[in-house]
Amino acid sequence: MRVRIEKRLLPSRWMTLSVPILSLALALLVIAFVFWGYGVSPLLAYKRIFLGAFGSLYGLSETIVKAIPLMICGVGLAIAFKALVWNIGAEGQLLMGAVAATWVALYVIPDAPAAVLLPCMFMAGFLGGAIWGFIPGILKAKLKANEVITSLMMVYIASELVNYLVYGPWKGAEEWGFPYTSKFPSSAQLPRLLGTRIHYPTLILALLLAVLVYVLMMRTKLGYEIRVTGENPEAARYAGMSYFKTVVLVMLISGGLAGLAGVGEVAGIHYRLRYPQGISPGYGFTAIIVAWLGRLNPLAVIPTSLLFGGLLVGGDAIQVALGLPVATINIFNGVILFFVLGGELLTRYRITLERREK
Amino acid sequence: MAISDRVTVLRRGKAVATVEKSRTNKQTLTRMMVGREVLFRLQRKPLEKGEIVLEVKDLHALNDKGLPALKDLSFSVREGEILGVAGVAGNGQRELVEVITGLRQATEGKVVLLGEDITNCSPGEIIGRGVAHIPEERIRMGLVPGMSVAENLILKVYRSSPCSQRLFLNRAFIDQHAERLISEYEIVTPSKDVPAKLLSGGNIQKLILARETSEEPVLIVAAHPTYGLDVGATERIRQLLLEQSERGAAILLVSEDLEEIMTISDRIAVMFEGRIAGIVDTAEAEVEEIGSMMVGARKEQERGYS
Repeated sequence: MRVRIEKRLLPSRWMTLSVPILSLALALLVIAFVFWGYGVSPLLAYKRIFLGAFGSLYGLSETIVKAIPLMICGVGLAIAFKALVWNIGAEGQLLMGAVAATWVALYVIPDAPAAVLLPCMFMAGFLGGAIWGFIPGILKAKLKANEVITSLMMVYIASELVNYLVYGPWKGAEEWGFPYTSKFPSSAQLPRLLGTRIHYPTLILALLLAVLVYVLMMRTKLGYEIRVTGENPEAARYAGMSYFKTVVLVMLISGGLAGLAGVGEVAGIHYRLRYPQGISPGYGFTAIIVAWLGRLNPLAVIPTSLLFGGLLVGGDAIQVALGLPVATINIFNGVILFFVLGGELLTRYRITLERREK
Repeated sequence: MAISDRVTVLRRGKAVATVEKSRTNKQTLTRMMVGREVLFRLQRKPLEKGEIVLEVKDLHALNDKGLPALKDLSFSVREGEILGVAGVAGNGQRELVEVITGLRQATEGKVVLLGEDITNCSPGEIIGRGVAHIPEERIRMGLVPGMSVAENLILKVYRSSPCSQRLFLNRAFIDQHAERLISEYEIVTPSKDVPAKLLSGGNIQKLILARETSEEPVLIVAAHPTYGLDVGATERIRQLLLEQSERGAAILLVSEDLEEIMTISDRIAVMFEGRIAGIVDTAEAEVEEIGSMMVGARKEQERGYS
């Protein structure tokens, strides 16, 4: 018996609709086994996750807090992935956005009023993330360097840069050895929704971006080129579209958006730059799944980012309540991604088993 | 006709007639399939040949394996002329089409369009100069299957006004443009918004032709345009190509179907092993002569006018 994989001429329609639902369902099933392996009732675990994330006002607000960076990064990644440009480095782009915003807030114009400072921080954050995305983009466009590797490697560079800054030149004078910068001036702090940690300007920005990017993809020339390039790169070339331009632009935009998410974290949650894991527990990576589960539709990223925000919060909850390791939620993410991508594969390719003739 | 006892003709989903095989012939069946007389030898108006539109000089190119695919190729095509390129597949026809349309590098030689050197220009630039390409692989290259018919129809014109202004696509134009082309070119589709992949082969080809020819290109490069299509679609495509040449476009027609080449071309160039084995006037050509050139039995000097 031999397994043969051939590209489907026309993607399977039925599967296109059911992939997100089925992959979630299958992931839940597989994870249930993981819980069971730990001696925990899967149903109890799921109930705790759900209640932890959505069952209380606190849980819900924390879910939204986590959904914000996921949404912004997810929308950016939807653009890149739609063009078949695999931006795995959103985490690094997010960190660089945070670095740029911190630089503006503490060292460039710390005395400016909020109305000037905050927009400048966001613009700087966009630029920082965009530059970080541009590098793997230009390497791919000019040298055909694999962007999965280059963008991923840049995450480590960004991470170490942040470490260097917070332990070194940017270490806050008042913080006695902790890897934090000084606290931001109050004009650099985003307002929050009463009593919660929801930095609502960024939330509004995130929702706006989801809509704007949707409009970009469906109603502009660039969006048209991105969609054609992603769906049929041969036809894009035949139609005279510049692959170079498309690749560079999507990396600039998706990097920039991830940068914005980074600004939101430092200006809205922490009010300072901290060691990298303290800024982002892997938002840039989780956003990959958020984007895919939404089938690369920016509007669908809104609900999927809320779902994953909930999973992160729920994961914290069961860690405490049931003594399960942190890694459990990572396993969950990984399993969902596995099934979503597997489903995507099946919609585009047909797998047949052939008997070998004796 | 070889093995059935009776023949039923279906047209647009309805059964038109059922006849005993012995009481019918190819001509009658074709008429029933298409609904009108099909001329297997289409009327071809002898036209005044105009300026040289495309000139290929001493062209060399490599194939995907790095081996020479085109060797010292030279020919020209005039306004209003259809030059058929005959030959067994694999003798460089694909590479020739790709070099002319900018999808492949030429290693030596020149491609000249209306007097300007377009050798190794990008596909975008070549399209901008009025070259239309009807690709051999309809779905793989010429179509974006998941996008709607309307969105496929703007693949050539989306960059410029009135299809787009600055950043945005003009939805109203896209809709109007699609409706116009669907009706002019008789593309059968439930609506302009269905995914293009739902169309039949013949209608996909009509879509591609509509898109490529509606902007009055100066040169049309058509690779195997009627491959795999039914009789009605084949006739329609050939007719559309003829109309384009009557309008003044120069047409380079690559086809494995010798009957097709002899039906609509003015001159026939035969390719063998990456070279032109000979160019003959269709009016004076003999099928045997062409056939022997296709298998490399004879090499001839270019005949007819150049």
